[in-house]
Amino acid sequence: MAPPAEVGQTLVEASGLRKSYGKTAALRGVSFAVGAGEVFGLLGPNGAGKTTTLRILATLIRPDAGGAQVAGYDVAASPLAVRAHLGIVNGGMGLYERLTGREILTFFARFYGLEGDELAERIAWVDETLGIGPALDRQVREMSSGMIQKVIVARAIIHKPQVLLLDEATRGLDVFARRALLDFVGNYREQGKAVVYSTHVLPEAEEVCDRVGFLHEGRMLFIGTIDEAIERYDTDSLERAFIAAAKEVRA
Amino acid sequence: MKAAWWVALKEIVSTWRDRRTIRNVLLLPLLLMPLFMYGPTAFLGKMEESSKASVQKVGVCDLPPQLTKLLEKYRLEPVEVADAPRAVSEEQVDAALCRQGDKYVIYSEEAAKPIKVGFVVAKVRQALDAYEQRLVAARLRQAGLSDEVLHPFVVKEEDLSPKQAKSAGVLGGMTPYFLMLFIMMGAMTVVIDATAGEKEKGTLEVLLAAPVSHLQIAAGKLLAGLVYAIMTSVSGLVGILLGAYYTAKFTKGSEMAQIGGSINLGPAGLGYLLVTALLYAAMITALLLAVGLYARSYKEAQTYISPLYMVLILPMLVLMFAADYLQNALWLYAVPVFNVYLAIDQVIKGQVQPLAQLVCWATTALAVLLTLYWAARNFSSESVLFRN
Repeated sequence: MAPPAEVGQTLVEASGLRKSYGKTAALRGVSFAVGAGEVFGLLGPNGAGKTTTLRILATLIRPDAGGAQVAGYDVAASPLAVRAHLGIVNGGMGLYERLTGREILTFFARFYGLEGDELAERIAWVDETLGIGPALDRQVREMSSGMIQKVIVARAIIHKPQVLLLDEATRGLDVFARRALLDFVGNYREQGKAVVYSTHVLPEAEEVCDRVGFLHEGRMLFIGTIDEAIERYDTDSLERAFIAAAKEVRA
Repeated sequence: MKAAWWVALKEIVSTWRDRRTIRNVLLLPLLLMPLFMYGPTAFLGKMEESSKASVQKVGVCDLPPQLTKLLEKYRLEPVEVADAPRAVSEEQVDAALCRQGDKYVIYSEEAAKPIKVGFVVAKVRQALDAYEQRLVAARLRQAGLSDEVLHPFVVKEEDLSPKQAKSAGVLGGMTPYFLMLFIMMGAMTVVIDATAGEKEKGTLEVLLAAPVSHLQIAAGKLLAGLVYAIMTSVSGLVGILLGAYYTAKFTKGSEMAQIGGSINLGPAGLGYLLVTALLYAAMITALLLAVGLYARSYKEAQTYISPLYMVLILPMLVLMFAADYLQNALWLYAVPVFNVYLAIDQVIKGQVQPLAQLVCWATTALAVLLTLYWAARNFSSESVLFRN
């Protein structure tokens, strides 16, 4: 595990990311940076390029042009080092149905070199942080959706990654599970970690993000704090600011 | 390669906890193989015995009294009929025998009822043969000739095949086919869930985002597929052997008991069989891994794998009938799938050619490396993983 990053230190840096699927351009030169102790909201409607951006950061796909660094490692040159320093949660994500919460956490933790007492301590830590409780020793097919979501997040942070990527992470969650996740994101920031929070639900971003980026049709239209966005587009909410930004580009 | 082992362990445990899989893959072959393979044999044996013991009605017209008596001797009940074809079609009799000048005609519906009527027709033929022999012997005597005129020499056949080949019987002929089939079934159980199943449930993306090389992930899944392929084939083979044992026991002394056959492999034969089966299982698992990754769902994977299944079965079906002619074609031991069938066939029949076995192992090992490389590449290929 890497030593804690200093607040403000850049942990995620994307520059000029371009990506096309056949003739469809998903990203047209996307750049942004996220520092330690910061929650950065990657905001945009479905098809804006959010998932593509996160997949590039997670080394699952390669950009056609541009590059990115995570925790100081280049995603193209050092994919294993990048993966060792990030955790990922997305809304469509599932778990292994016939394994217990503890078995799933153990399975993933081992990839990060956690074993024996250290592994047991880490499982106790995620249990305490997220309140997993009985789900630890229950098979996934016997868990409620809220429990499943907790195990998914626990799996993503079991190695205390410096960077956490959340892609539409509250999709399908009930009000309690959603609240717990948003509270967790706030706490994780306090530990000096960087969080990239991708969503199309802008009120959610308003609540949890320090800075936001408006991603629309593969272009980054704006980067700044929520207040700056509201001021820049002369509106009273983040949602209206986003719509104004999109209209401005079209015009 | 620790990570590969963890991936394998996860797949093995996860599959083991799926009761349906265990039932379908491990228990059904064990229970059904004896029934499938030996049930019909045992049934036919019983039918034959009961047919021999009971008396069936046979229509007769214009038969000499000597022949009618012979029919009775072969446990048939001659019934005089005026219209033999009609008597047969109306099922008044199982078959009919009529004399038309110097010709004897057997009427039956053998094609429609091959087993029931077949046994009766066989009895009628036996009676006719016996009658013919009597006539010939009488005529020879009248001409002052002995029976030896018709049999100037004696024919004796001696089969010099190895003892194992002689005793293998139907069991030996079917074992390579079933062994290869079970390997495929076992591998499929794990592989579809480990590729398309993971994609569908959204777990593959997380696994690929862990700090493990995709080659290790592919190797781990391959190992798990291998374990189930071997378990399934062992279960199936035990089922076949159990079936053979009990059929031989229950039909002891009858002709049917000899059809089943038996397999006696020494330590060397077992060694040859194990290496070949393991290499084949690894090749099939890697191939299924590579193909399964293209699918976006469990259902889609089945549609990809079914044609592949047919392609793999075709050589086995061809060789089931043509292996005798191709056993010595060394080049065929370099052709995947064909080579495995022929190599196993050699071992079962006790006719091992070490060079042919080596060629088979070398080419199958090469095929394993190539298919594993293809699978590992697919685990890193965004066009395969995120195909829409």
